Amino acid sequence: MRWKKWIADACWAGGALIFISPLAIVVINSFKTFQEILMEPVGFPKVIQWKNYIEVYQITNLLVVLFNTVIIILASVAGVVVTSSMIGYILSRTRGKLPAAILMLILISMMVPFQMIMIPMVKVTQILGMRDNAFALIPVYMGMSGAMAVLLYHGFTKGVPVELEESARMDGCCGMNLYWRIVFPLLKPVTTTVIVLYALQFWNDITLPLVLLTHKENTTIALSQLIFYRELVSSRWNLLLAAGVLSSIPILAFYFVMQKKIMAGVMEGAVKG
Amino acid sequence: MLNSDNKRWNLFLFSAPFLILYFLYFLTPMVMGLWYSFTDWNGMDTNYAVVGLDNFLRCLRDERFFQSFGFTFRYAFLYTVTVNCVSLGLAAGLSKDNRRNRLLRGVFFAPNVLNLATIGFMWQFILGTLNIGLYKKTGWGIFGISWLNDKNVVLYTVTLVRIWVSAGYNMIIYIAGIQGIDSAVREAAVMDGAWGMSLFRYVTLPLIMPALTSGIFLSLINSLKIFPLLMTLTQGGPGYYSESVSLNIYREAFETYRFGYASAKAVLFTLVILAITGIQLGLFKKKEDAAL
Repeated sequence: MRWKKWIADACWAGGALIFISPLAIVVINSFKTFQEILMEPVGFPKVIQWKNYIEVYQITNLLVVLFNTVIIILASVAGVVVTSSMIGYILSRTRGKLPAAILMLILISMMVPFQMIMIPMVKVTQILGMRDNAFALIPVYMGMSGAMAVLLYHGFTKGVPVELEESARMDGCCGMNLYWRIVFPLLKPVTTTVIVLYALQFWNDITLPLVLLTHKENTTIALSQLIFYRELVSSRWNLLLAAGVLSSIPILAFYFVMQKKIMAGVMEGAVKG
Repeated sequence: MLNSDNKRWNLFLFSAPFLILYFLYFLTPMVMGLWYSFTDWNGMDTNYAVVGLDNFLRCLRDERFFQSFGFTFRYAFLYTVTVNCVSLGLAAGLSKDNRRNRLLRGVFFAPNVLNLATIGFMWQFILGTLNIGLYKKTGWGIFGISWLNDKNVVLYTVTLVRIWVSAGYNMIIYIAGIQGIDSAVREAAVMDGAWGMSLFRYVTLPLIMPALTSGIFLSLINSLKIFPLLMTLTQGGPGYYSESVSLNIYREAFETYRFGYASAKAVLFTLVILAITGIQLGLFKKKEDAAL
């Protein structure tokens, strides 16, 4: 029986190695010169070219872009948590036709593809004076992608007993006060789910920045990848690969730390969403 | 009386922040998009004419648009079938909670957190430059395949890369499904002599049907919208052979600046997605009714 388990383990290990090898190949090649990549794409670099990374850092304002992206994600995720949890909670706690109708209205956005609102979004943000401002992504994200969070909060609130709120109301606590002090802490499990799912989604979103941000000085990490690609793909593979590796490090670090929460979030999201 | 007034006020107060943003950044653009689809707006001029159904009639004669639907549907079908088989297999093998399995799950899920544009050019490098290098070295047939430039192969290339990205995602959903099965049911089946494949086929599979249905529709809807990966993996090429509907609409809008025409295409695309979602909801409803 022992050797059977060993063979199974070896098969899984081999499979996992093959699965992850594309990433390793890219990392290895990001340390070669452009000539070397073209002539010898297989094998290790003769001399490790740290200067690829230095050059990527120099030709881009990577730190500024990273800083912007982090701010955008923190603010958008916080915004989604605040606005979506409030409406999800109240729609679940109020009886009648109106809340049901509002919920239906919100669910529409989960079905309509981005391409439908992409073109007018340019016009809307122009009118509001928000075009080419990276931070303008924040309210847009909150509005157009909050529906899933609303649904998660709505479903979760149903399972939270009302008694606690009623007794708090007896003590004179009401409205916003009651919500933020008593209810919101009880929604913590779903808040965690929303935070990890939306942080990942916003970090990797290219489509909205692509449409709203036209200057390359003003970009997000995700969009910067596409800009690099268009500029470098034919001439500077070494820099492009280095840029790809460099920009993936923060999210991989996040994944490494939050892995358990992310997977739990995916399970939650798939069951409820 | 006061209480019911209070309730209305609270409903308003709690809903308003989200609804205002939702109105501004989803409902308004959606309605504007519908309006543009009946015009010949080019995105820049302040003047444009209402052209009625002209844009939609033009869609019907647009061969490239049809081609993009053909690619998208073939890809969506192929991807949905294969990715769910792969992820179901992974889930079946890794559903037990132990250290080895947690590690392996972490590995198979990892590509999901990476940016699709980055993944696109990483794979373009591997299937292009590296592939040629390997062919020169080994001469093996598999490296002789032109993954990205052969119009008969590119569909499979895109599917393969997308499976690499997303198999881990569906795997997680199915592991949740398998772990949700009452262990008493499995034990009873084992007592009755079921094991290995037959245990999976006759006990596990029927019991995770709900997870499977939602996983299948999730991958179907997502694959119909395929877009960012193609921008760096194939750029729709060779020719337009791997141009998806989403990419086609994007290019119509932001490369040729026919906003009106692109909006009409987007409306048609939305209707297709809504129809498929409708079928899905109908199926779920039937299932629930049958269960009652």
